[in-house]
Amino acid sequence: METARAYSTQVNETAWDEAYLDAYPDVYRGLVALGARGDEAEDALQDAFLRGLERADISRAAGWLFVVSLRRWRRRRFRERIFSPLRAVMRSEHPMEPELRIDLFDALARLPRRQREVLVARYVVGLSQEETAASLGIARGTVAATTTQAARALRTRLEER
Amino acid sequence: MDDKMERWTVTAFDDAAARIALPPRERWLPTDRRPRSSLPSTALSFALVAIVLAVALWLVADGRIVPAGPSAKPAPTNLIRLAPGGTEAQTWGAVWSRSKGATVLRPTWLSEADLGPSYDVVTTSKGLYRYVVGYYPKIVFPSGPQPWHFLFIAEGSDVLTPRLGTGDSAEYVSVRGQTGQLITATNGEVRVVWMENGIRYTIQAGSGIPGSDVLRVAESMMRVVDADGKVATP
Repeated sequence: METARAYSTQVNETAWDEAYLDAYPDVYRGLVALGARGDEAEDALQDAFLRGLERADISRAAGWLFVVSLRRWRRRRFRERIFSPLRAVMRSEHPMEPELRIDLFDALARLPRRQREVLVARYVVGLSQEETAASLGIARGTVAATTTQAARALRTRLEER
Repeated sequence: MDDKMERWTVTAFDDAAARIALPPRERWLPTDRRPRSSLPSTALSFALVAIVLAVALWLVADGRIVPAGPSAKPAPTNLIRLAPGGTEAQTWGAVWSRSKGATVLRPTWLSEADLGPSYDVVTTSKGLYRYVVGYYPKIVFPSGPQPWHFLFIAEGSDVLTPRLGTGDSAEYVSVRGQTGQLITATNGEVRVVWMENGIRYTIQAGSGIPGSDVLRVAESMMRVVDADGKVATP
């Protein structure tokens, strides 16, 4: 019985490893697109991976990873701002070099939080409308409407530059 | 969303996302697969603060707190203050008044506008240990690194000379009539370091600011002469 349980756990962990590694590039890029530094995105994803080991269900892995790591990153950033404001401001590690500053993400940062998250979930992480709705806890219709509204706003801002 | 807009959005995000470098694959999985502590140090800090507040409130309720008389012990010798939001002159004036007579140098030229200063001063019984005045964009937007910022650091003789970081390159330059070093870090950030008045001054600039501008800022620095942050006339 114990052996069977251990085997089952091992199978689940291997499946989770594969799902995680498969989703990693898109979710990492999604976090950076939303403003995380590279080291923050890495930490948030690793935290989410460890939480995922306790999860039996590995379906919708990308959406789950995106939302959990997004929350982890936001919590960490909040703590940094509260406890060491100067250090947080002084840190400058970032995966994007200055010459690679991406206008699209600069413009994205000016959109409301819900719009940013929906656009990144859809077009960077690659989630479907249903997956985005389930992951962010909103209705599918809201995802569709928000996507259209946000994409228009984003394009307008980029064209204004 | 119409097809044209959909195509534009997909292409724009694909192009932008492709420019984000991924970390090496060996760093994707954590090396230790055990769950990390669910009670991080910050939570412990919160708990400690809550306990202290609770005790303080309890004492207040009982009327046990009375105004303190003059302490027989000497005041703490070091002082750390951080005051973002003041004007530039107020900031430098505050640094001057806390620096125990050390020469405080204030820039009179910056290559970037709309930067707001904040400061951090540490002193010892022997005098200045370190001050740091940071100039950061007033509108921190977007979140993340700010390539256009300056840090003005002055350190007393108690502070060890920092080593060069891995990959940093340094060249000797003339700064305010002294021989100093212009150091370029691997991430593109430049800092200028020189000794003057027995103090080691450092200007550290964000990666968006070239070395020539940092040197020009150094040359523009003037001695602060009062708590209002005024500088000595040349």
